[in-house]
Amino acid sequence: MIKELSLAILFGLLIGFGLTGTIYFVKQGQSNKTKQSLPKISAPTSAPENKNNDTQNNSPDNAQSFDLKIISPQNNDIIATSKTTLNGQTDADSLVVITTPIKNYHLDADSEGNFSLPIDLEVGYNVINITAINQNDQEAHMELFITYSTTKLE
Amino acid sequence: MKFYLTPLLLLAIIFSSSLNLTYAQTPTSGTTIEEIQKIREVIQQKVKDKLQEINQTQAINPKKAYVGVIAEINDNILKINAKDKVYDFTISDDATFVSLKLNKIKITDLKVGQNVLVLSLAKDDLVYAKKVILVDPATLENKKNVSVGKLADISTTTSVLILIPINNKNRELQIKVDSKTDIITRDNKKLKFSDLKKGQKITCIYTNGQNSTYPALQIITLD
Repeated sequence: MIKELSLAILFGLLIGFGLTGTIYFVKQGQSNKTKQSLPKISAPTSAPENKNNDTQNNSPDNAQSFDLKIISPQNNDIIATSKTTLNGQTDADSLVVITTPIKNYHLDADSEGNFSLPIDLEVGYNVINITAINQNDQEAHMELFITYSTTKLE
Repeated sequence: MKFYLTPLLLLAIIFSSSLNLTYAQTPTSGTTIEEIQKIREVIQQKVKDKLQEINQTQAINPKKAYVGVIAEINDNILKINAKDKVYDFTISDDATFVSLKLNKIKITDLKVGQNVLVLSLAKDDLVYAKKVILVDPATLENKKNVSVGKLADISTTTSVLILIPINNKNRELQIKVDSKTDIITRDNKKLKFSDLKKGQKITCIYTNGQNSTYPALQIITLD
């Protein structure tokens, strides 16, 4: 009787370990596969995409890799005054160069990357080129289209 | 036989389920925790950015102007092809039309293929073309370019600089400096042509020139 019971326990242990081992390895295999198929998530950086930028920089050496955006005025806006203030954001302490059809400007972005500058507009359609050069000498370019018109539209 | 099988099966089930439970309760590995933390950080950052974006959202100006080529025009509808997309307008009843020489013209004078500047007003879910002006696209371009680079050579006799752009070291820009060229430091101090030195880093604003020599409008020294 004891012999039979011992045998039963031994078989039970063997089958139990066998099953558990098999399930463990199968699950581990699945887990590794899932890990491999997971997309790599990179930690947020200060270099997001620059969708709206019209890159004039066609160079591979020092590709544009930072953000430059104009908060106001908005692209294609009609402005009824000959002056407008350009507010934008880029990398901290970048040099920002702005060219309009009539004038050229430059200023430094602050430690948070914000910049603001009043600019003169010529009557009609103004293509404004904005270039930011950050402290690593990387460049970001964008174009802004502003129309200065006093035509009453309403 | 039953006597053997019953404890055998029972034991097998008890062992496998107990060990499975242990496996399921095992804390996730270090890598997984790191990944979860990274995902959390990314989500937190995205939420933060979105909130910032929402706070910064401004009222959209209903008055917009677009330059494009007329793709379709009739009494009510104007469609233009711009650089990146097609814009549709409802021609306002009081819309005005202007020629290249800034004379008033009729809507019938506008043809498919002409370049126009459309002054529009968004109202009641429609975008009305209020003024349509014929334009020459070449005159609308901003022909100024900006380049950052190092001065590879300076010719004092011809007042020509050789600039190697930092973003394209395989290129050499020949920049012509004249009396109209504004040479300044980053903090707006006036400089002379003779103050420029070989190897110096500059930002140059120049226009399209002839014979690959570009007239410099402004030079800003960076070091």
